[in-house]
Amino acid sequence: MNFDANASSDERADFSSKTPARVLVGRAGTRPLTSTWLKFRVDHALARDAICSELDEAFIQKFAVVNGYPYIKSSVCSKDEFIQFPPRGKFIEDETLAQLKNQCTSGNDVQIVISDGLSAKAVEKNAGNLLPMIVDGLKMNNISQGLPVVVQYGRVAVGDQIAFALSARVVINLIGERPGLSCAEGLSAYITYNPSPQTISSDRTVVSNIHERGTPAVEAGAYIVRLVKTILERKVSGVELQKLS
Amino acid sequence: MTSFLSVGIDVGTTSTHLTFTRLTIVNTALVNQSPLPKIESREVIFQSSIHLTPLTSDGTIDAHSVYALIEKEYETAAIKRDDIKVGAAIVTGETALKRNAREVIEKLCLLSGDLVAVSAGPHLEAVLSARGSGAVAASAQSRRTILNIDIGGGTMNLALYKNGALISTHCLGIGGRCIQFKPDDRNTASQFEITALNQSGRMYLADGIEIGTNLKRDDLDALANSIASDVVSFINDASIETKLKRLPLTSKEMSCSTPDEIWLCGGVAEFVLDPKLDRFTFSDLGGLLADALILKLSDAGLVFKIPPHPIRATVTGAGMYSMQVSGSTIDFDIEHLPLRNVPLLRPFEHKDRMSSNDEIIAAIESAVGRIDPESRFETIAFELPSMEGSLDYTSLKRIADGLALAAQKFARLRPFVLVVREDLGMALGQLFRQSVQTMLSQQPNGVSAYPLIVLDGITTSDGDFIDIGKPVSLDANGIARTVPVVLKTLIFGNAD
Repeated sequence: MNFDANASSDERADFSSKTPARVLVGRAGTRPLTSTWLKFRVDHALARDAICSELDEAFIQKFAVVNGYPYIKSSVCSKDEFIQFPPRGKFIEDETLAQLKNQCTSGNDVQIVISDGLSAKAVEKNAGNLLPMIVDGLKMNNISQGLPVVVQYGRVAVGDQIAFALSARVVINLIGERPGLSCAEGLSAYITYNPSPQTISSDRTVVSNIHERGTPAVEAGAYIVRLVKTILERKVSGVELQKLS
Repeated sequence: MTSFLSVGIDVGTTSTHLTFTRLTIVNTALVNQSPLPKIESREVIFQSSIHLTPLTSDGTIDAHSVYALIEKEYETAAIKRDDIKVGAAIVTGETALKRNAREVIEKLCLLSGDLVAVSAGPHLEAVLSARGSGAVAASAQSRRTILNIDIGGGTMNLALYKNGALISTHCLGIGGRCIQFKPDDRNTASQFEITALNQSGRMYLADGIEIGTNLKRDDLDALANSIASDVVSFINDASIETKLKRLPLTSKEMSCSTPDEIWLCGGVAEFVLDPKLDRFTFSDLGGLLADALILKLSDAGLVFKIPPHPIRATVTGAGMYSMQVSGSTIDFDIEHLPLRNVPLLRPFEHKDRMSSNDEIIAAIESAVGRIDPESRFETIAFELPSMEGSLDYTSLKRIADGLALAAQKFARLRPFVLVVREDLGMALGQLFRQSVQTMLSQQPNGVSAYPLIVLDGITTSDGDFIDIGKPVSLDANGIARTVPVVLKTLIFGNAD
């Protein structure tokens, strides 16, 4: 489609409404317009802020402490370390695991883990609506679940460690996605059957883009419950689940 | 990937015909995102011949003959009724003919499968024609304002599109069959004896001209010219007073902005496409009206186009575009599908009207009372208002609790059908079932589980009835499933 300088503002608006990408923003010589450039800088700053963000204390209080959910750290001690050495976010110290084993029940069908990942904002925005949908839904389907565990500086594989230690059949890791320039508040759910330290990425089933303008958290929650039910029935997740018919 | 066979049947003032279309549904979401079903392709696989609509001696449609004619076309196409999953049969055109539309439709229903929408009304006709002619796609592509005019025997249906989006529809209550004359005279004759004249034709003719009156060719040209010039003046400025506005069937509300392009379709447009076609083929004004219209359009400097098969625009649109697919994360008790002719009510103007259980129950009670005081319907569908701003767990749970209580009150409605605008079908379904489960545990003898269907992702604008088909799986494990849906407008509720 050709857009010339005469395209009406109506046409531009209509076209731009179809994508969050920066289309039809015009230019000044070889450079973007100042307003476009500033908007880009703002979005980039938001993405950086999301990565650097920490789970807010008030949020942890309301979301985890009040409900008695354990709030633990991965093997990482600080945000700086997490950003400099991302693989360390996959692991957990032995004593933390021992503490979890004390505090939580073992041998459940499902273990839910909530991790800040690369956007603590995503967790703060969506977990409050997503988690109760999953917890309710599992209960309705008589699927047993342990206490949800909240992890600071966690990456996807941290869920495998926790669920393995607690002998859960399925782990759901609700984790903040890597922020982009159009959304810094997206959450993903990584679901794995029989999780262990040997789990690899293709073993995981993913529901991504859980946020206000993507899949609403409540709807994603109901969908995740059905996925988990199927995964428990079929005893497999990830690519192998997609192959089954 | 799943495909459906869809049928479009158009029983018009002058002609009757059908098309069979293959619709293919695919999942268009990226890997790892929740599935997003779309109708990917629409392929016309059969077009019937165009038949003159059989009429009885009292001037109504001969339902029996129409049925026989359509049945024959099914045979020609080698398609069995059970193969057809969706589609639309439409009785279009003039009111007088449509007196027995219900009878015709009931007959045609015997020929169609699971889920065939049966609709009429000039709004839907106008929209289907614009889609079938290709005007909508052209408007989206070229980003121009296109007016699609479908000129049939009884009416002209106008649909105005801009950038592929519908702006307005209008009906003008006149068509090629406003006057008919003795067929044997044809174009060599100097005299045309009037054999039929409807109210619209009378309004454009001088007093004293009646059935049996002989008219000259000049009189007919003058008649066609005055109609055409009123149509063109309507396109240019809908506020101008003309005889058109006083015709029966003509839309009450008038506003029409001048389009970049005009697409002409319907039977009358066939004459424009083929200048050699005998102007008196149908022994009515159709041919002359076509000539007069293009003359007046050109005089006014308006650009017009004719699609390749103008007469088939409506039927093509009916076959191709009457079906929608729902969102993929929905909730349903499968044994209750398919459902046909379920009234679709909108009990809540705004989500603020759902603030308490009592308010929810009262709104549903009054909506049901209005449409179904005698409890005739086995089930009723309720469309919820936009939930924007209430996509959170707490708000949605409260609403689901209220709806579950309402379902308990109207336990005779089985299943309880809900339609929600945002992507919330599966969530609302889960919360509703949870409420029912809680009620069950509190009063084990009071309630039984309510069968439920919750849909999202469909456009319901001004639909009065809804058909819901059997689900189609979008993934190998059948977690994400979509249902085909057809919305219908009131068929016999118009002031005929």
